[in-house]
Amino acid sequence: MSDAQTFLSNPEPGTLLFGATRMVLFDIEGAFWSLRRQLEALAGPRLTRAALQQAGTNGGASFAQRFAPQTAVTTIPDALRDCVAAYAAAGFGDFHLSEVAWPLGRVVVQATNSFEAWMFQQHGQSSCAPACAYSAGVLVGFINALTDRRDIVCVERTCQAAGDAACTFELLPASEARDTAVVAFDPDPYLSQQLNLLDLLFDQMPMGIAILDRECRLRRFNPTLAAFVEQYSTLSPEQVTPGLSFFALLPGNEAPTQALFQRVLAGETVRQVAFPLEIAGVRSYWDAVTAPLRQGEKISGIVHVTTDATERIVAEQKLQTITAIANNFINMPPDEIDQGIQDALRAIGASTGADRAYIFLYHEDGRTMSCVQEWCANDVNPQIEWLQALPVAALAWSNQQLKQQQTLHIPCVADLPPAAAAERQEFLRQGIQSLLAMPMTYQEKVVGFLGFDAVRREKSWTAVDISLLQIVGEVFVNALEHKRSRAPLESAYQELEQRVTERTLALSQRADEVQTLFNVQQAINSRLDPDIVLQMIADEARRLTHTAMAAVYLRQGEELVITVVSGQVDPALIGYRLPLDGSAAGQALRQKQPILVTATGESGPVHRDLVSKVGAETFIIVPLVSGQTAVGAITVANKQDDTLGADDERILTMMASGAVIALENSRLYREEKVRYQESERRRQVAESLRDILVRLNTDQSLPHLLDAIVTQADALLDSDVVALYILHEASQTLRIQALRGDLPPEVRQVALPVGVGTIGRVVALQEPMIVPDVRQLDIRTVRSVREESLAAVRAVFVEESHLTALAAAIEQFQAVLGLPLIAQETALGGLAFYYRQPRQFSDEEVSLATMFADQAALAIQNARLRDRAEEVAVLAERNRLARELHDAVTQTLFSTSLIADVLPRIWERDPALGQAKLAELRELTRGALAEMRTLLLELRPATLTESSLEELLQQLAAAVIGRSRLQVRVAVAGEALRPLSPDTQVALYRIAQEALNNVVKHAQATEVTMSLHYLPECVELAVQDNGRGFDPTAASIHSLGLGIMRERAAKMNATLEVESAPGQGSRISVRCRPDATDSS
Amino acid sequence: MEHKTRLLVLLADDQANVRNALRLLLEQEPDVEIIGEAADASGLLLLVTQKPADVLLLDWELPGLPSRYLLRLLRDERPSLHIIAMSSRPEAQQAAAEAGVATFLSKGAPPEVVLAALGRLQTGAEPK
Repeated sequence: MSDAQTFLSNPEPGTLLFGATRMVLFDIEGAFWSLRRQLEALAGPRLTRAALQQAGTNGGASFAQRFAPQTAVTTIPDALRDCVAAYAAAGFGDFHLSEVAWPLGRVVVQATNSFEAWMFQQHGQSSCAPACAYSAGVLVGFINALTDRRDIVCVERTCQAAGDAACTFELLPASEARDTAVVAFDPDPYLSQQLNLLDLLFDQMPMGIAILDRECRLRRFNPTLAAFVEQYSTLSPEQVTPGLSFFALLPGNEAPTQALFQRVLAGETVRQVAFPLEIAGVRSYWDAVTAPLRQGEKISGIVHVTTDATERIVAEQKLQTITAIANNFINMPPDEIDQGIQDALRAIGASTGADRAYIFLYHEDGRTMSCVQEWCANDVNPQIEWLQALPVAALAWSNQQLKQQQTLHIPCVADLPPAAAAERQEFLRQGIQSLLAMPMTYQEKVVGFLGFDAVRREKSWTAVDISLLQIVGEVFVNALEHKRSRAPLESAYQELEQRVTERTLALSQRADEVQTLFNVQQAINSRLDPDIVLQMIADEARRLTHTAMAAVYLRQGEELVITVVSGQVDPALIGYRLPLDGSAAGQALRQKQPILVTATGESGPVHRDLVSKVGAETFIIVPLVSGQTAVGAITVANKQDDTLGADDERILTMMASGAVIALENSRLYREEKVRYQESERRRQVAESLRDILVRLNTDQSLPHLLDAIVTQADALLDSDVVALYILHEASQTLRIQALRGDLPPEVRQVALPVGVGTIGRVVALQEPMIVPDVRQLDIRTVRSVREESLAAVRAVFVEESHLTALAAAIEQFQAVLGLPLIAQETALGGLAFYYRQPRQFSDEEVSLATMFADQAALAIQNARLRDRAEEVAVLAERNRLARELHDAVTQTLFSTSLIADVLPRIWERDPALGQAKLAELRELTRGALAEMRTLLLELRPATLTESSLEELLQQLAAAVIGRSRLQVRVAVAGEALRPLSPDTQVALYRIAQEALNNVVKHAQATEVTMSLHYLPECVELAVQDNGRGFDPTAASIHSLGLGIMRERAAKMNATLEVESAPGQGSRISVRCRPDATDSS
Repeated sequence: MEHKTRLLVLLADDQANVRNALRLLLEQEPDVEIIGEAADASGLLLLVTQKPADVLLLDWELPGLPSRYLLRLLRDERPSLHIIAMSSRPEAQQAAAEAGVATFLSKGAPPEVVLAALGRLQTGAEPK
């Protein structure tokens, strides 16, 4: 929507839409409708119709003048028909020429949905008279232009807006139509044709209209404008003539007016609402539309249309004051209402120009009245002091009117009638010249009145003022009644609030106790250190009982030990021991009952020493009872007597139960923790041992192994330093081979003679040595032993710095555990655990340390054995075969013998089971046979190439079936095009053997398939199981076997493929050329 | 008549065949009940913590942990447990004796020897 449309389609009451915007309006339905309604409102329906018809005539004639010459038609009827058709085509409705008797005959035009009739329908209205004035004018205009006749009129015989089926227009000479005014095409030669309409309206308009030239001089103006000038301007009517500068009309307001006209001359149509002017001290407000007057492309002047909005604005301002007052009273708290009324009286009094404003209320008896609020202008004397408890009868005349709900408006007190003589006398006494009093009614009863006095000069109030002030009176009375009705409610509420506050106080104290217990409970649940919880309980107990001191005792045998103190107690008393006998606490514990002790200074079974130490005059002691056992006590105490009572005992008893739970929890937790630590330690020991075993089974170097053993030992025995010494047999000295802990590196260089120092003696004697605390040994002995040791060291080794380091290292330890490394009754070295603090060594620790020592000895021995590799290899191989024989065949045979032994008995009882067992026996025997053959192959490896690979795999399978429950299948696909080379055959056999062993040992499988697949270029061996699988990327116990298999595969230039995942079984495969040779 | 107590027995051997054969044999005995089997050391340790066994037939070469260490853990866990070591290796007898195992069974031994070892426990002839 353009600005013009927005502006025009939203007319407001009192807004004039007129002037140069007119032609725009006529093309816009909404705006046209608005204009029509406004014109009707302003100028009446008849004049509106005339104006619209004139506009139509001018429009129609202009169109026909320009349209006709362009057409080729020659006859006027044809031209008229075309014009009507063009009008219809332009969207003004379905117009057509139904009858043409030309010249001077009847011309009839029929129309449906004529835009004017259509507008009535759109707005849901109907017209009591034909409504299509503009269209009628247009038709006249056509005739005016086509025939050059000006005496033609158009009568709308029927109209859709009036309920007819169609609109019928009859055009005829004025002489044939009675009482129909001629409206003819009538362009203004001077100010363009637009002014024709204005001419019609000019004189009757209730707005001031001024037409100015570009220099803002008055060209034309209407009588209304002249009247405005007379009312507000200082100029006389004679001075207002064409040619006068418009600014002369409103002196003092040139600047804003000049700015306005400049905008209009720039082409803008400006609408203003409540434009303020101040001329000679009088303020006025104006609604105005100021529009450019166009002539063709040029702006030739200004149309200024204005209405006096002063009265409306002033009324609005007063209304706003009232509204603000009324709004102010909405939700006003009762205690603010008096002040609110006072403020309102001041505002209203000032804005209405009164000297006094006040409120009277009638008393309950109806016979007296009092002024309850009063406002006075400056220099006006207040009267409220004397206006209390006045007899109503004394001013009977005025009060009678007020009580009948009549407004009392007395513009001149002096003119009061004789009946009001009392009033006149009283008012004059107060200096009142004019008076306005409005009854204030509440629920149809007059309860008082709102009054205004004029003291300094006479004053009369306008009807608007009076009606507005009546509203104020209503607002006041409502507020006052509201206040009155609220008062008892308010006091009841306050009383309730008071009671709630008191109750809340009592409850909050109880709530505090509950919250404290809750906090204690939470602390118990979240903290495992009982001391912290007990401290909290002691603190809270003291706080809740408002006592100076609190303490918790825990029982140890026949004594109570102060564990926690709170408040004005010396913390040094923690640890103080109190005998159960001869103390109130002991008595409470034995009786399992709280005890309240008062006046401790006098007598009673109290512990004098403690009572005097803390200066307690009175105390309560509550035993802590867990199950059937009293485990301690909690106490609160004060230095003033008679300050403790039953309520404190109750609180302390609650706190005691919290303390018991805390202690119980802590005990349970400690037990649980010990249990957990024990099992965790066992697990660690087992894992550590397994780790070492795994390492022992691998070919790790001895230093690595020993390092690993020392690391594990360090972790499990919590030592500060662990050192593993190796004995050099030739020199009979010990050197550190592996070390954990903080020792200078030079220490490794020291060669310690056997027999010297703790570890030297351990190795010499081949016995462990346990030194829980070197300080408890004879000092002299220790020192002499140390000196002796150092002297011996010096004899062997002379590096001074190393000796210093060793001396320093020895000095710092307070406990030592030394173990010899012994294998086959030969000392190989020692293992020493050093501790900076004295400590006891449990049997378990000693045996654990011994295990590590054994492991280390084994590792050293193994390593030494490995040094004699060939010899050992032969021995080992023989041992291995023997072991295999025992592990495999012997066990299978053992099983068969056991089964064979019971078989007869089983058979006797259950032949079917016997059959099954016999089959099992057969299977086992075959397995044993296969295993024997497998072992024989090992004894004579050359035989590995004498059988085919399939046969060898079958034999492997049978051996495994014999000793385990595993189902082993051998699958062969394809045929060997060439025989496998011996190396390939042995390698593949070994891989299959290893893979199968791994499955048996680790996979927990139920089925295994060994498949041999001969392909044109290569042969593939795969071992697949349905076991638990493993993560091929993770280091595991399998890696050893996998490593060997990989090595074998690599030697054949083949790659070992491992496919597995946890829970998914595994598949190990290798692909190689049949003639691959061992590249080693 | 001899006083016989009912024996609750655990079997520990990595070979299912051996366990099955032992089970078959012992199940024929009226006062013996096999309450669990283990195939390795960790399985056995778990079993011992869970089942109140009187006797353990222990393969001396049980994988997972050398038996002399395993014994310490077992005794810690259940000091009253009678342990009968079994092995197919001749040298194991000496090792078991050094580790304090009173009863050793060779896997080459005939079934009656196995039953006799248990029988001694039932009559209380075997010292704990």
